[in-house]
Amino acid sequence: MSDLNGLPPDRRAAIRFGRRADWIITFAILVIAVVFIYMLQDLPQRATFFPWFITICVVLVALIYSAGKLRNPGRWDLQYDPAAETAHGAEKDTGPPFLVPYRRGILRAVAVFLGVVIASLALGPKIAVPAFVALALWLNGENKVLAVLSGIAFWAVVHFVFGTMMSINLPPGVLLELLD
Amino acid sequence: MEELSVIVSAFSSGMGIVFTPTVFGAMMIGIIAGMFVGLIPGLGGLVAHILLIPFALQMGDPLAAIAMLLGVYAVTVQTDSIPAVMLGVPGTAAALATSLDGYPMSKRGEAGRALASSYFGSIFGTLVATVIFVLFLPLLRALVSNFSSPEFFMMVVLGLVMAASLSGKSQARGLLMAGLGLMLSTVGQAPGTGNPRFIGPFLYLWEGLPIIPILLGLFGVPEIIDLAARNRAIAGSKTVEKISGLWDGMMDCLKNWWLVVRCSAIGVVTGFIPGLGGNVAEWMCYASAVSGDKNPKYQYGEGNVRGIIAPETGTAAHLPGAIIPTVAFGVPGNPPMAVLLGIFVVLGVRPGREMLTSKLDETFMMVNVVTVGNVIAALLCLVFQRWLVKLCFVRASLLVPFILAAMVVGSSFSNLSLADVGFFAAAGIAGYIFKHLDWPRVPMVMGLILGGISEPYLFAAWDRYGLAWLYERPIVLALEALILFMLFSKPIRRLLARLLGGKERARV
Repeated sequence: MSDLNGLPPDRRAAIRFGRRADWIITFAILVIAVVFIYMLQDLPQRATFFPWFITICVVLVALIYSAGKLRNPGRWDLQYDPAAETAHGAEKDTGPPFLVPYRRGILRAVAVFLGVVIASLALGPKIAVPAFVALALWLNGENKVLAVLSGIAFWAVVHFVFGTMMSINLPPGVLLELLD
Repeated sequence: MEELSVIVSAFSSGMGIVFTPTVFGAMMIGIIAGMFVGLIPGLGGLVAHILLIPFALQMGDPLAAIAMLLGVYAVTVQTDSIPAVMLGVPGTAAALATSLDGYPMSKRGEAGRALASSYFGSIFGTLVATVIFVLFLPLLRALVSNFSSPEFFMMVVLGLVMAASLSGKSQARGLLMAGLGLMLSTVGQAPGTGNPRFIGPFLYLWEGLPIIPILLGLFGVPEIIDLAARNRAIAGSKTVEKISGLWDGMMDCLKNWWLVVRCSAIGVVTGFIPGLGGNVAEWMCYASAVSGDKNPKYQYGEGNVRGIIAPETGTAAHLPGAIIPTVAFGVPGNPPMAVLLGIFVVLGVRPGREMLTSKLDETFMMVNVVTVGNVIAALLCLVFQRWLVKLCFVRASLLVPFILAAMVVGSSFSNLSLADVGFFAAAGIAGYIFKHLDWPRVPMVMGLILGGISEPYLFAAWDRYGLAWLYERPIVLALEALILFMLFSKPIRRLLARLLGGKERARV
């Protein structure tokens, strides 16, 4: 798959995206390893022995992998072969080219996911999560009464079953703490 | 004889624990939750397993918590065959081989026979695997009694290298991910010295990175995002075939008893090897069925019942098989076992020699939960399969909000801190990227969990033997040879192929 010229533009772009992302992941792991090595300087020798051993190994493997990628950038493109992707039903959803038709849906799903997380951090999971359940069902076109009742039921489970019966009190959100 | 009586006594004691009200109740919750979540399109058993962890940990009883999680683990091999046979759509990758012959049988009007052969294949698979476990236990106990900290450390390294080499398409990526997991495992208090490492000003990290939010994020969020992005039910607009011929399916398993025994042995062995998992067991067993059948009545892929019995038996037998290395050596045999090992760490259950000696009854409890859970799950599937298949038609838009909500709430149970939610989100995004760029997540999780276990072993080995443990102990030397073989066999093969290919070209 080194030669991308025979592929349609969107698949070509997806393969290039995959290669770039590969480099970013490798670089990120290398950076983490180097930061860890730097942070080990102030620690007593005994506490650094195991992390030293691992980080050195990681740096070595990352460098070997990077050298292999530089020599033959297409070597790890094999998984982007569309024939291989569709040959095994359950494995077909791997590789950026396969995701091209779903990119809008993926971006929407990621945005919703981050929205729930940010709302949970701001308001606390106890308020944000039931509100999300109700809102998501409503916006997805489910029955409005069902959506509101589902949100209330979720809140009741979190409050009564976990909070009251099991004494698991979920953390309040940052905004609510500021207001207090 | 004394050895046998110890094993029999531990087995019966383990079975007794399974039927105590709390453990049995927890196992049933796990089975029922696993039946529903495991059948939900696109999610599967591992997500069900991870989703239940925060709730299991709140039970207060470690054995009950483990039973609940093993209940989920046991039921998945049963439920995933329902959509595979009735709709021709494998709910998980492990049911792919089953769908090859199951769906044609279903279209022929033999859905009941196909499902029954799958359920009973699973039951016989776990039963035979349990017998194999009991038979090999004396050998295993003798082996583990010779293990000390150097051997346990090398076993962990071997497990990581195997998982890194076998779980993805690129060995280098697997090794990098295992290394990343190991590096992250060193965050927090250093064992032995007590010094805080890599925590900066964040006291939250004193106890290390929170495992549960990271697991939920790495494995749960990618499935949820994909489910939401596609926004359709796995079954699409397929029709459900009529169910008939249940009795014939059971008889098929009995008639093909040798296939069942053979595939059970394959399942146990693949379960034992870290990184292989159920998919490999499934295809090896399918290949074994095809190669052992010279004149089949129906061709394989066109509705041969042996093509269902073999993979189902193998995947079921690999479940108890994967428990053995997890409890004996602290090296998980498959992803759910890696997750379970993380829970062992949280619950204070220490894998190692004790699990095969003084705590052998607890080990048998785990094996028996899988076996009993499998039988119960098969019976429940037989009774409720008509209704269970309807779950495959549920729209993603209805499911996603509830599952994502449960994940966010579950992730914040870890330390009851908002930072848990932050780690969950970060792990979720990273997990999605790793999944679709084929950076294997299992070695990373194994590294994260095994790092905390292996560091004390390394210290103990160093303190007791200096460097001599690396070259003076025969088991360590054998393990080192295996590690080197796993690391360098592929590059050497590639190099040889290139050299030989070069010579051939020169000759031409």
